[in-house]
Amino acid sequence: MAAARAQIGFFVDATRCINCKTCEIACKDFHDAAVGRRIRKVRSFEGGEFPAVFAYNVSMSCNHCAEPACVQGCPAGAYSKRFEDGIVVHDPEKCIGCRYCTWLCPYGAPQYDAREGRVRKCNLCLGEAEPVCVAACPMRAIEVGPLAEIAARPGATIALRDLPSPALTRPSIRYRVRKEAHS
Amino acid sequence: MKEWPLILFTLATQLACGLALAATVFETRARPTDAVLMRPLAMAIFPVIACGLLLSMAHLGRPLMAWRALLNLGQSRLSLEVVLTALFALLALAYSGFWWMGRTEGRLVLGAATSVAGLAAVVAGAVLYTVPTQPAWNSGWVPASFLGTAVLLGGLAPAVLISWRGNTGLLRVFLSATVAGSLLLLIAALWMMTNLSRRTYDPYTATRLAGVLQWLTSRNSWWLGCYLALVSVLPAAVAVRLWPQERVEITPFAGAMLAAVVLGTAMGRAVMYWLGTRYEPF
Repeated sequence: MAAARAQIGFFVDATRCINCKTCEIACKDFHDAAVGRRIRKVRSFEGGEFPAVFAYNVSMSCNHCAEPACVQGCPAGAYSKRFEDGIVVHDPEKCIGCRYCTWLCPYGAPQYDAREGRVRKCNLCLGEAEPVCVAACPMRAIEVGPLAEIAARPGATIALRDLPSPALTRPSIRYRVRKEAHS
Repeated sequence: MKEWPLILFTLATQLACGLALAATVFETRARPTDAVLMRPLAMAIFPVIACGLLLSMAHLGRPLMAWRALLNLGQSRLSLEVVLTALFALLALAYSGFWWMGRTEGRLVLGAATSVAGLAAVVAGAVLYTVPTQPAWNSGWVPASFLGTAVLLGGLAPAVLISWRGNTGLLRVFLSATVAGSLLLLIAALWMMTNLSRRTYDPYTATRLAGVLQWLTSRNSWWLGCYLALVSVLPAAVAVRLWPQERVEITPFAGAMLAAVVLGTAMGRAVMYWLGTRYEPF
């Protein structure tokens, strides 16, 4: 897929995230997500052996990947990747609710809404000044900006041991995590 | 089992494909006067695939928009599968119609074309699942399972639903297909277990595979055992029992055995969907 002119991406500082799930709730409330559907999700991971144990939290919605499996796989053409900023947009009017994208996405970004019979996904709050998850986070752990700038920050990484390989879809997200979380 | 529409749709496609292959083989090997024996099964090809297509729409959140599934043909494997299955259904309509009307001219060529389209639809349906983001499915066992089901059902149905009086050479062709299909399904099951047990340096994939393997073997091994008994042991037993017979009559017991094998294939397909949808990504 042709590269975006200026790919936008998320930066999540997992060393700040306290798993309060404010970002989840803000996103769910703003987009009226169905019960059981989480357009943004926070998960905790633990590891190590006593006394060297560790835990960290990962907040994730859609990663607006450089090679989005959803765009290629959707039979109805409901997904598109914008050239100007690389945002992967889902058009609910075109969605037929086949849920194939929920199998293709390695990050579980598309969430099936049984009330409407179609999938919902993070669209980076297009039309808003900034995504609600960014605005809501009390720890300022989530940022949005040019991926090139985000990727150049010290400690920014994409390869976490508890996440799918970034080689699958080349997600437009970077994390700052403890060194134990690196894959 | 929320994926029941897809279980029934895939089984219907494979059954219809198997019947198309069987009818085509029958026509090449049987005496012309025996063609009437295959007629009911050949006429059933189109209704089976049509029911499958209708059932598949129950999987959609917006079934009335199903036509949109054709719009990404250049990129989407699912669009390709829809097109190939629809093509198979159209050819099956004509082929079943030829059998119904007793028309023989051109029927062999039409049967071959229908069989090829059916195989293409089965294979296209299988490769939908072999995607890198689904480690439990991303293996050759899924296509092997789909093809094995088509061969098994295509061999077993005529073997037990036709009265064979003489022409047992052709019966043994179908019994051989039955054994081949059951063997392929056994191989697919072993392949699946090997895939779930494979070593990988990717911790995420390793965790996912270990999780579904543990779920399958610790609490659901009985289900897997029933599946293998119904799709591998039972068809082989039927083949061994019928092989030396010079005369085979249709009996209710034979129909029940076929129903049991179909139930077994459904059990196996349910396992396939459970493996892929057991855990949400992330």
